[in-house]
Amino acid sequence: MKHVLPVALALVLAVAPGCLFARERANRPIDEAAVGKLAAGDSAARVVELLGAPTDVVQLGRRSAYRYDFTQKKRTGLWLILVGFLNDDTRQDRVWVFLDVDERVSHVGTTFQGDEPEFAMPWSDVE
Amino acid sequence: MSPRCLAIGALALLLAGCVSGDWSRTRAHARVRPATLEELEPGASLERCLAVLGAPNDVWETPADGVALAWWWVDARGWGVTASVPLNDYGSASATWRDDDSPGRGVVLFFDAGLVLTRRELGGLVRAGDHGRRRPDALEEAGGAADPGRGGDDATDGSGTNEGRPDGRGGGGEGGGGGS
Repeated sequence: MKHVLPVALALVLAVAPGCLFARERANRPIDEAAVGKLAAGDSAARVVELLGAPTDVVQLGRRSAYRYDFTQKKRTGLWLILVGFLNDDTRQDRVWVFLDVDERVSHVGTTFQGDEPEFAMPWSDVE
Repeated sequence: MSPRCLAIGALALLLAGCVSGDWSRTRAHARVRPATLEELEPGASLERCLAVLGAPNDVWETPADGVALAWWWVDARGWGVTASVPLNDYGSASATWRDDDSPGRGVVLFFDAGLVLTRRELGGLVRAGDHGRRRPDALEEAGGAADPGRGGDDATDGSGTNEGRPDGRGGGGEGGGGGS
């Protein structure tokens, strides 16, 4: 029993140099409360006032849509002498604001999953 | 420790410099479950579709003032083996073998000018750039009809069916793989 701790410590020290934990983020998390203030009929100027500059503007015939997104990726790696394991998990906050021909908000679509990526291994179940 | 374990350990250490294997997995975005998609029949409103599926990954215009929305996700697994042998003081030879599965799948919903769902497709992803998605044409006059020739409206396997290829490797069409 008295050897368990040293053996465990030796194992951790042996494996630790082969471990990788990394996180990448693109843009800032979207303010869910600000999105909640948007209402049908709001002007494009109001959208920009609440959410800032969009990451993309898509022309849809005489309509348009503003895209806002925040991306977070978590990467986990483990190298054990001969074999390596690597896992990437990427999730996004996304908001699409659809504007009608008069540049008024007609629809808003939201997905808030940017805080959901996990540090995991390839065999892990991640929803 | 048995001699067999010692032998395996020694062999592993000897090979460590020239042979390596990896097992990788890439996951991105949340999967759209078929049961969720079943809730959206043609005739559904854009508002209803956004409420059920959330914000799409990609949006583009289709002919006659239509709109297409795509949701896609990736859960790809792969593994490989690399062998490297030093040849002389200045170089080495290496060979890699990999087996990666499907890049991902996506759902595309097509809406008419009234933003009513007309069609839905589920299939394997292709990269938008592979099929040269066009930029929207300039509008010639306010209220003018869209040029029916601009843009495309297929985004998964282009088969016009609700299901993609069983192996998840989508064929023609555009847009489903549009990334962010």
